Amino acid sequence: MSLASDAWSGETRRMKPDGPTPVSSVVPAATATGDRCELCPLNALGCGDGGRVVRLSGAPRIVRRLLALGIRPSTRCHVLGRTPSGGPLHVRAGSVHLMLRADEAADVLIERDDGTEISHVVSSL
Amino acid sequence: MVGTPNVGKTSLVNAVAGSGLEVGNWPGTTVEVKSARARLGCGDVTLIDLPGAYTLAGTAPDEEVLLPALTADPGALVVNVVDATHLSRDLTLTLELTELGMPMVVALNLVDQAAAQGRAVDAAALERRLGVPVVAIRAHVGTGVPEIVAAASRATAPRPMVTYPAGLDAAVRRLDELAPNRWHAVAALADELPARPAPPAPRRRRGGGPPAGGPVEAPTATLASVGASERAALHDDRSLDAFLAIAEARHQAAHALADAATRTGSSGEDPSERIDRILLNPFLGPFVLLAGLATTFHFTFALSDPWVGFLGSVQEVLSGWIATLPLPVLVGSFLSGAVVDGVGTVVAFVPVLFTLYAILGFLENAGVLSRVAYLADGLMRAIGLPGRAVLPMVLSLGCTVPAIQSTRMLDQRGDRLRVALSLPSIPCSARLPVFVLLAAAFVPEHAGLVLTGLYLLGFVVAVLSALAFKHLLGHDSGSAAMELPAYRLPPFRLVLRLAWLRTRAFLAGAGGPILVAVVAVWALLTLQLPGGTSVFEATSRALAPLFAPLGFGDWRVVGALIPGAVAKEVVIGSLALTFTGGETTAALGFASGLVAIGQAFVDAVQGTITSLWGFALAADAPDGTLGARLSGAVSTGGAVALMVFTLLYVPCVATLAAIRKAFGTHYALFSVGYQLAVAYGAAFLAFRIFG
Repeated sequence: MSLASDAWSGETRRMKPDGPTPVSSVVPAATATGDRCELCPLNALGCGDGGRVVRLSGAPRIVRRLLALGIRPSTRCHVLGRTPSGGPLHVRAGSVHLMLRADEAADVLIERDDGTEISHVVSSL
Repeated sequence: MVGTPNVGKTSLVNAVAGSGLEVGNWPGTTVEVKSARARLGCGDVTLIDLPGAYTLAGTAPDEEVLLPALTADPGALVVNVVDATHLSRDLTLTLELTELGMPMVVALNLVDQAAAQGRAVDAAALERRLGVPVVAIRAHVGTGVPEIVAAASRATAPRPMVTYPAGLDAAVRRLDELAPNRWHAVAALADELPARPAPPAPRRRRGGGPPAGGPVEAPTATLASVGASERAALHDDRSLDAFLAIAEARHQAAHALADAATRTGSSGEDPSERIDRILLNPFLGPFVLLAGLATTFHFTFALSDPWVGFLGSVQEVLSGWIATLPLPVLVGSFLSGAVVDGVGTVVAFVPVLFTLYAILGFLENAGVLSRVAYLADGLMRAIGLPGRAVLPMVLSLGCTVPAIQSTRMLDQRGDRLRVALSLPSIPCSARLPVFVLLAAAFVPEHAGLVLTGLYLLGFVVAVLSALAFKHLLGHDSGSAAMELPAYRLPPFRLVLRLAWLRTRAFLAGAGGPILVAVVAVWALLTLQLPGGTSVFEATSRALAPLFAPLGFGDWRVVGALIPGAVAKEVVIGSLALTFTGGETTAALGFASGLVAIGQAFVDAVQGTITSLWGFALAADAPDGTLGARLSGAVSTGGAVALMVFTLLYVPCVATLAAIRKAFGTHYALFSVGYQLAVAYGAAFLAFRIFG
């Protein structure tokens, strides 16, 4: 996973002096230590699964749009519905309901809810 | 009034101003800006309802007008409508607004819904944190309006709320000295300065008094270039992406604000999610929505048809009265043939458009239309368009003009153009009576099949056109992501008022071109050449051989297509005129005319009521004599070709006016050429196949 080459990875960490526990500060360390992949693109989630947004990667235009719509680092995301054959996803991000195409959802990297165990370990380090 | 889409801005303007809402277009765009004048405690004010946007730096046309509109008048008060159910996200826009340094008030809408979802939002706490008045309102019922008016008088320019991290902050401060306000300084750093210079202030500003000062200077090129070098320095020295860091700081601040103002309790299931489980189900949803759509169009036709008939009767009576007047023949003919018919053609749009705008306005505000876009996204993706692009295509079944206007919600110009140029192929409601008449005359036993086939053909051609334009005009599709707003029951009065406003805006925009075209056709029909034939007949006879390969080379048929360029439904009237010699208008006494109008009105009311119950679309029984004469002149294959040609040939005048306004004259002309070519080709094929 080439985190270092991504514009998001380093800076979101430095950018969180206070506020809610920044999940993003945890993740690069977690991926460095664990061999399980907690960072998972949103489109890989099944219906009903959820997690917390860690970062967005992709074309700036798409990233801007997703940020504006409310898909932001540390936002909780749930996949509520998917259409077969690679169609759009119905996603709840925070309190907002959104439609995302699969390729846009692939730009949203999240930490799955079932990966919380690992992140607890890492944040206590 | 500024806020995210669907937040209730228009409801609030409506509640503050009562009636008197106006719809205007921002100069140079087709973006709808609603405004209203109201007399409030502090004097006369002009309320401007700006299009919804998630950020001041958006790039869709309706988002682009936001910043220039806000900064056009530094004396203006910003009323930021915020959705309490999406507080954290909406406050990001609020924080952007505080950086403009303009006096502002926050109107907190939907507090009751947030509470129902288990989040109690405290307006007072938010006010303490933000430093600007925060008023809880219920826009759709109009509570909280006096409080907003009171708060407006104590509104002051807020201090910037977002604290940027050290390196970024220093850069923002340096840029702040060059920029008109902090927002522009931050935008320069984030590479989000508006690309275009600010357009002039909206035209509908009369009565608002002169602005307190000159407009904020357009951001200069210097600001942009200094911003670029600061951005590069941040990237090199601190490996910091300025845009992402700024976005992050704003989101953090908004999140902290929202957290401080919200107490979270237990919540039940979102009722919208329950509805979505059925409506957005990939197997069930399309059927439910298709049934809903069919019902929509059924009611559009069924509810408006009696009133179109009523207007036609009024038109007949007026022509009858004119025939009794002692006028020279040419003047009388001008009055009834050009003036009454012209105005009649324009007014005939009113019932259809009003009904369509009302139903669609309801569906839009209820949150249904975005679900249609969701379900159609797969198809739209196949032709390289976002799912939202299906909405103009659906609207186009009613009328192409509002459909073209609705393309403004797509954020890429290429997408807008491709959709707009493919819309004229989709059969609008005006083409239906033409098809009904021709199908009943030529293929009475297969009329339904032919009609369905024509609608399918229209859609296929539109989709193929969009696909062809993708290669012709280049492809720069934007993001397809969109919000699925919560289901809501929109206030009935607001829906009706908006429908009327949009109908009026259509009449103001398209009425002129239609009138001109009707007068031109009248002149064509009336003026005589030296030989005794009319200019119309001569033109039609000259053009007729061109259509022989399509199977309808009869000059009377070809002639009827010429006025069809004004509005497609005119084709029937013209066929009647050229084949049966037209009805001579009988002179009508004043009293009997009034009786006829009264009778027509009663029929229309009755028709409306019966159409609410009956589901069968009562198509007008086609004129038997006309049908008989037509089938003598044209073969069955020729009739099919004629229907295909009518489906696809030149967009009507109103459509062309809308394309011209949105994209310029050359694209309107291109559309004429393109549709003629496609229609000719398709009709030729149809004649070969069915002839």
